[in-house]
Amino acid sequence: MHTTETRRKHRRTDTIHGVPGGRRDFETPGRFFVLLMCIIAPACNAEADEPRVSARSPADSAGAGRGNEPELVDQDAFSGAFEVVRKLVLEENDEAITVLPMVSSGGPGRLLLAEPREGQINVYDTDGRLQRVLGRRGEGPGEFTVPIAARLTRNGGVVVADMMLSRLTFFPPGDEGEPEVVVSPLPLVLGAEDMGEGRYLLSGQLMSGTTPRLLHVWNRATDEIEHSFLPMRVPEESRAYAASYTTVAAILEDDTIWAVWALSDTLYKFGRRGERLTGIPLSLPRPMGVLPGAATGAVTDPRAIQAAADSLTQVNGVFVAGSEYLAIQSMQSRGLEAVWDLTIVDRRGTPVWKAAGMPRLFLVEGDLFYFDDPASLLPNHWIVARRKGER
Amino acid sequence: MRPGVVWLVAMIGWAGMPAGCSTGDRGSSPELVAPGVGEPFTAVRLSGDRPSLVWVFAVEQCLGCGLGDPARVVRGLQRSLGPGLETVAVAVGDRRDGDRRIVSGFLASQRITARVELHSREQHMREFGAAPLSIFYVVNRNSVVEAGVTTDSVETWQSARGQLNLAEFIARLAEQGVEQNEKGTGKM
Repeated sequence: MHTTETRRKHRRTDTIHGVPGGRRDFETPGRFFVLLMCIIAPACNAEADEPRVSARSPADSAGAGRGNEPELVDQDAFSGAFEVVRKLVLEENDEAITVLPMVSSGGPGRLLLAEPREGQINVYDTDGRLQRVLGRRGEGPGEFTVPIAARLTRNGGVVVADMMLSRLTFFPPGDEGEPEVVVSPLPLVLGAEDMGEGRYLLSGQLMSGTTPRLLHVWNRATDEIEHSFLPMRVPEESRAYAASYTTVAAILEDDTIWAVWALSDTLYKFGRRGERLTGIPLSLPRPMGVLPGAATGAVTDPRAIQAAADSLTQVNGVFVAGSEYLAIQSMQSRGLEAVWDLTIVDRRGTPVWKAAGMPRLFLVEGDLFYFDDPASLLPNHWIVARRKGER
Repeated sequence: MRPGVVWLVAMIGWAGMPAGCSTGDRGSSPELVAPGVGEPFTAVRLSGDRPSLVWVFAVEQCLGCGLGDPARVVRGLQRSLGPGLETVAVAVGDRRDGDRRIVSGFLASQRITARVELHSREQHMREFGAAPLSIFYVVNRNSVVEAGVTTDSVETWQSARGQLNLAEFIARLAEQGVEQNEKGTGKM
């Protein structure tokens, strides 16, 4: 669960004690990190108008200061491992603009983009044509404040998690019917995936006993959390700080749940009831870093918070890549920007490939990887790539 | 408001800025007077050939979430008006190293293109008075058309006569290219 560094640093105190009360985690450096982590800017300078190609070695990119240099992507490493199949430009018009896309599959030939900053869900085909817009900014039924994730449901509808309104909104299939709005059992819900049989896999922190847990099986009919799992295990003195890092990514594959949590270099495998099947240690391209301990005290200065975040690797995505592999995305923030890394393992966790300084990965569909286009500043410009040798 | 959000708001409230009102309260000290409607806007150099939106905020606010709503408004205006709108971001802070990068990174992450000017707190007080942050000024022909639309009123602001929202109001300015004589009634 911990990095080598954190194990060593916190060897004597690595026990799990409860966080007293439910509010303590809010006193910590910032639940806003959940936003910050996923609201990462592309490599850019707002005063620059022209897209540019950025390429630099990972060694250079590991430094904290980037100045004005457009370092974020190691083009050599990327092109050595991936072949670009095509470029993809998502249509923009008065209805939809791509700002901070949180992407999932919308079924065959479709992409679902939750846009937390725009307060809506954009449905595209895989050629980038806008098909439909779900919801709008607001607090009424079918409206959103921060829609952080949208997922296709098994009946062909869409479920949207709004982390600020603590709501789940269920859109029926097609254009018929009104959306159904349900209060989330999680105060800060980060995702919902239809597991079938009326159950949903919810992502987000919830105190269970004395330990925060990050994944939950929710029975929609009874409105009960049936299982809570993936405990946030960190040394006690770091727990207040770590509680700010609520990003958890999970993907359901048949009866298996693959999951990662921001501050853990482990790939978790659970059964449908949350029973832990295995935990696979990951060898990430960059070290995880060291969590601030109690000696640091409460960090309240935004710049200090940012500096601390810049020194930590956060694991923020797991993708099923074909029938053999899993891709794990990790990142380090660089102020309001980020550097993204990618690790590929097989189903047993055996490392297959990894590299620092990759384009941000949005989605994997079959053997196709949908990346942010590193040659463009615009977040609606993507590339679709395939691993070399995977044709 | 949920505790996490309260913390956020507290963090980005930024103690350095006294609360106040730019247009409603002109203040008793001449040093703390914000530019008012109809007055020349001299705090920032503007093109003068089109409407300008001057967005004043604290550098630290770029690190929180409190600028999300105004950013969405600016993004929408830029989308609809394109080069017909000049946007200037005035970032108030201690002029620390990296401030420009923080602000530029924030704007880029919001898909906002703006010229960035960094002002010290003292400079801000001289030029804008004791105004809360963040705040918008709408300027046309180098004169203030609307002074001080605060972040929390940006989505509810309406003009007095035409019942225009802020986006429509600025769009009308851009279309007309002439002096606008409607006065807003935005909450301050």
